Amino acid sequence: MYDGGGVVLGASTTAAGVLVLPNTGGHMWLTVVAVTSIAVGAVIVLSTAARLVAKRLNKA
Amino acid sequence: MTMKQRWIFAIGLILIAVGVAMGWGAFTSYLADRHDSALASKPAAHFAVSKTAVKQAQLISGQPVHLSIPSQNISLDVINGYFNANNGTWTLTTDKAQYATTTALPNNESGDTFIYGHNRWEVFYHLPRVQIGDEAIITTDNNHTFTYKLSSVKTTDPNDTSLFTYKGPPVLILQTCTGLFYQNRALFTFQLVGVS
Repeated sequence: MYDGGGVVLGASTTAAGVLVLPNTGGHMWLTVVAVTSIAVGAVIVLSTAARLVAKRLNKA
Repeated sequence: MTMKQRWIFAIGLILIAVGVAMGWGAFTSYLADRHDSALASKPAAHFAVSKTAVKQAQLISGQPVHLSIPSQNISLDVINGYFNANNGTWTLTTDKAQYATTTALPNNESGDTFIYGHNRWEVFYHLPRVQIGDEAIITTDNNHTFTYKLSSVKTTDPNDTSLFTYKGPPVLILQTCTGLFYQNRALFTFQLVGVS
């Protein structure tokens, strides 16, 4: 319960060298799908708009 | 624009809208990272400590069972969180905060009490919005109440284990993940200001 320096410790201790901070992230797959969806959507919207503008310029 | 082009354009807009909706949590988390950086650039705050309990002759300590942060309407049960040295992971639930058993129990003498939780609506989604001076209250199994105030915020990487060797005055450190892909660890350090 107490270490040598009088610090109150919990139920167990582990050598600090092997520890990492906990992975407390949300839904990673959701982020990947979201970013992909936005990227594909943006490409579609921009390419469609560009094609439309090019067509109008050609007509003019 | 032909009908076919209109449909393709509409599909593109829908994909963008769906992407924004699905990634809202991650995007706000990314923005919170920037907010953390802004907070971290400020010097750590120091608060007046209540005379009643923090440095008494008698050690006051207990197993944390509940955490609340009134300013963010966070009210969570706290359970023990254990580190598995074999696979390098910590136990983690989707609806509770975890007290890292390798760190100090809440007490009025020394050490850091480390509590971590998922960046989800049910747990620490709103944690990155806390402001310097906001209170966090820990209730222990022996009915002590430890009140802390946020003094500093730090965003770091998963390999920063300095908190596990902390030996200073009693503090509470809360952690959740931030960043677009939750690759960072946001650490919120609260100073003990009172025990009852």
